[in-house]
Amino acid sequence: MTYTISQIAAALSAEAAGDVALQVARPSHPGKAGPTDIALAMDPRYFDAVKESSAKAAILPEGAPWEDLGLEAAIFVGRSRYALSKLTTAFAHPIHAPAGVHASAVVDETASLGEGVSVGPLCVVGPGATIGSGGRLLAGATIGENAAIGPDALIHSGARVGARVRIGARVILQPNAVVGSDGFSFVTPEKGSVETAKSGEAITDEVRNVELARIHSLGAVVLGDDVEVGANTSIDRGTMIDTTVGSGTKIDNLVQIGHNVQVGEHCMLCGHVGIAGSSEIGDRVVLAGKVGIADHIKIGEDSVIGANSGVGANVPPRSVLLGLPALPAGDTARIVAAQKRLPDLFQTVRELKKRLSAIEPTR
Amino acid sequence: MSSDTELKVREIIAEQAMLDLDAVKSESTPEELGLDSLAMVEIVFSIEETFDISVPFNANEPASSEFDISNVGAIATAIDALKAAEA
Repeated sequence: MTYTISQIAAALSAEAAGDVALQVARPSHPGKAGPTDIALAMDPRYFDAVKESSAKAAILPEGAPWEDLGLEAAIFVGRSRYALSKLTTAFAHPIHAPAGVHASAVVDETASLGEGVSVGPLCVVGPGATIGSGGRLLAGATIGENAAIGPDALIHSGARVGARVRIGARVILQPNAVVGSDGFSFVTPEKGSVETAKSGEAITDEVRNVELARIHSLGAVVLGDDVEVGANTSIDRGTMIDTTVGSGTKIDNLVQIGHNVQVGEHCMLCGHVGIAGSSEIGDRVVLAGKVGIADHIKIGEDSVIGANSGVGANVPPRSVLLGLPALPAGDTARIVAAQKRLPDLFQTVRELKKRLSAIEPTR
Repeated sequence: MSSDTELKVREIIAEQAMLDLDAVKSESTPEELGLDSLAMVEIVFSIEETFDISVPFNANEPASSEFDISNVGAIATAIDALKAAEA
């Protein structure tokens, strides 16, 4: 599959120059680009690599001196990472998912499949489940009873959609994602160790957790449109209400979302994020890698929480936090910088004490 | 005066950025040197210690601080101004 420079420029809504009829087969790193590749050199620091490569075409920043780089054609883009989104869409590898139900799949007779749906080998679709038109279930995906999946979903191999879960349009579930696992919700018959510890009392014989009774999850999970859920991420169902994830939110691999959690729209939750039960994540919040969110708190919209942070209390909108406990990122930077100086500070204090006691021997 | 200050600033930054002194130039920006906000705070701490001054730098809003950190030369100029004001 090849494209002309003018076709790619049109896909990127970008200007092109030179031989726009030139055909290219794939995008490539400038250092490795061959004559049939289009080199990606949106940063001037790649210009030398382009010059040395045998690439005839490149994607360059606006106003770049393309002819000096030994090119026959060039495309000019403004925001390079955004151009990459459209470019990789154009060159994306097709997914093998022919329409129809594979002979080894088990689809309940009461399930309903929309037009053009593909159900791959060893998939299971439960009673009353609905798969919207154009949906693709890759090998081994399972859809629980009465689950409803919107149009054009892409459910990768081994992903699990639990019973009664409702999923919007164009949702992507990466391999082994789990949507609709039970909530981690247990209760002791009498006051237990956690409540005792929280109220500042000693953990006596009477308050030990002798039994953990299960609180069942009666709710489901609801995902909006255009949500993506990463590999091995799990989203627990709610206790009474549904756990929800708003439209446009993207979730990385190995993220845990607890029961009753309400995630807003267009959020980004990076790898190893953990959100404890009943917390609310506002719209457009970004949680970087390994961020932990305590239960029953609210993260205000548009906040950005830096990697490895632990958030234990409500956060106002548009906060930029870092650290454990999470503080305004600049405060954490100052604390970290000061912490590094602590050993020297102790040494200084020791010396000062010595000198002071020489001056005031009685103290 | 300024060149002495600038040399010390370059030494501080070179140590923080783990670069050769030659790689830290007067016109180098924090971004070019790979210095993030955490590193800038450390550099400000080192500057305060080295020059015995108090630097008006708000780590939560570096862009709106009075202290100009746009490049190495600007930092040295700002330090000289602070020293002159304190003298």
